[in-house]
Amino acid sequence: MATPTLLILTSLAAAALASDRPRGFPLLESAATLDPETQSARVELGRHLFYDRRLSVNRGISCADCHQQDLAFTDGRARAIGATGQLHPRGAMSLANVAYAGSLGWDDPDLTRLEDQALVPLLNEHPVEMGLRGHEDEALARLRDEPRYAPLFRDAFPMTGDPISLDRIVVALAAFERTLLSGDSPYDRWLHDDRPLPEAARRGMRLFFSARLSCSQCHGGFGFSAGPGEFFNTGLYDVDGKGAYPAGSEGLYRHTGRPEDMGRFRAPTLRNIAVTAPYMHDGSVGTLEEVVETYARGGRTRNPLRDELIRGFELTDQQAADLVAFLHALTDDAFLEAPELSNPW
Amino acid sequence: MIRKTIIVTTALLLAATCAFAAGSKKKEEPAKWAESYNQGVDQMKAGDFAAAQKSFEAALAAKDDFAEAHNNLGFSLRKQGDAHRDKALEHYNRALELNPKLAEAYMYRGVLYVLLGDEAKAKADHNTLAELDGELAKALLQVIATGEEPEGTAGLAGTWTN
Ligand code: HEC
Ligand code: HEC
Repeated sequence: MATPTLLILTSLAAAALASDRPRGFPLLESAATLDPETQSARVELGRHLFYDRRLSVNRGISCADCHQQDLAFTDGRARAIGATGQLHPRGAMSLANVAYAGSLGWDDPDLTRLEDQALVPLLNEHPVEMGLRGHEDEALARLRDEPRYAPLFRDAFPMTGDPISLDRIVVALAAFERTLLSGDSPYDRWLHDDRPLPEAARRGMRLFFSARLSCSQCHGGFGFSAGPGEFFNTGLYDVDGKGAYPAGSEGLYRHTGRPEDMGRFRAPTLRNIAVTAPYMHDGSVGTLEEVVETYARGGRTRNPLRDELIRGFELTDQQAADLVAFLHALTDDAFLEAPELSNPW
Repeated sequence: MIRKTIIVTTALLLAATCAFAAGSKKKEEPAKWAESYNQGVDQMKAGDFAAAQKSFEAALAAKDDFAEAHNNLGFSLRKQGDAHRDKALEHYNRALELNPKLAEAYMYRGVLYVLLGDEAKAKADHNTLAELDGELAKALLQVIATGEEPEGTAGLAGTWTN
């Protein structure tokens, strides 16, 4: 980041952040070192950019077309479709609490900074998502032509000449993404305010956290997601009887080339999971009921590389319904409707 | 569980230093109360809770403001039968009075509250614990969610090192 930053009392910024983070969430290590005003200007600029189709080659899509607020920042599709119509091998992920993610994406262990991640959809060519590679200057010119951007950039990046650049765009996008915090579901109110959950959901919670089902072993902690560096094979595919996953779906193996990493993926957050169907990295499971059935069978296949926790279990119909009811209790309606996260245009 | 280094309060440190200074010339030799305490930790890990109880009681006889010993004594008592639950709760409370940041005591007290059927208090302890030790908080959450006591001794305040 080339911007001269106003290094003001870190504790002040951290304190502001502490009051914003959902109850039970740890302090972010990347806590902002900016003064609060510039910080919130960056968030506001990032929000405008997130919802701006000018950032794609043909003004066809914005980040928000694949990451829609009412769907917890997913797109309702099995696999994403880029600006030029190309089908992405994988599906758009929820951005809820993405600031806390140990790594970014379904299977990339090394992508950890939101600033770096934002360049992927902007510039990616295989597949094309927003298609800006080679068209960066056109996009920047389009932003300069929009009168609302000059003051937004100036406030977000004070003390620079022309602040409109790709570097600053990703800094602002990341600042906005760090405000996508979701921690006020019925489950959270049960935990922090001692409010009752519907009985079915409470019974489902018992199952979710049980050693027998082990859901919480992989989707654990305040985020209901895996920790840094954790990737698991859940037995969704086995195309050759030796554990292979289909092309584009190889998971961690794509990055490490290690045979044992075939089919290993990050266990994504289950917060707001009821609104993010279809499920799994390629949207190949349609409903939460089917997800539960798949785990109950010990995976869709007998993939020999399956994680040892994917061993199957028996549930009565009532218990399966209870587990799904618990997953529904992780929906944070305020997050899906928060005006400050919505389209500012 | 990876044991956290015990937080040594200034007072304890001073006390320890004095004990060494007064007791012997050999600096490495731990004070009697620390020795008893560490023995109790080993006995607890081995599942001999009656012996552990004696050791922690010995440590506390020499040093009543020993938060970790109160915590571990509470657990050693509870593991010897439901009749000891009230006594265990007293010791957890005392441990937290002495050291409100002793994560292990929130873990043990939270588990006890679950066993006593007081989910609200268990959740309150979980929420405090979440600020102190994320891993222990996860373990306590599982206990609250399932209503089942965990295996092992997660929440044990570990060996005393100066
Ligand atoms: C064409 C649809 C599409 C567009 C446009 C898009 N994304 Fe995504 N996004 C995806 C897909 C697909 C993934 C999963 C990628 C993978 O891991 O293979 C993803 C993943 C992410 C992740 C990782 C989330 C996590 O939990 O790890 C972040 C962050 C993200 N996108 C931010 C953005 C931002 C910022 C923009 C705009 C600059 C953007 N996306 C535009 C489809 C899209
Ligand atoms: C061994 C670790 C592990 C266990 C145990 C586990 N999961 Fe998962 N879960 C994953 C991984 C990895 C994925 C992503 C897999 C993929 O896309 O290929 C996933 C995906 C999901 C999804 C879809 C998420 C999305 O955004 O599409 C749901 C829902 C889910 N799991 C629920 C559960 C439930 C309920 C249980 C308990 C019955 C459970 N999981 C147990 C690792 C695990």
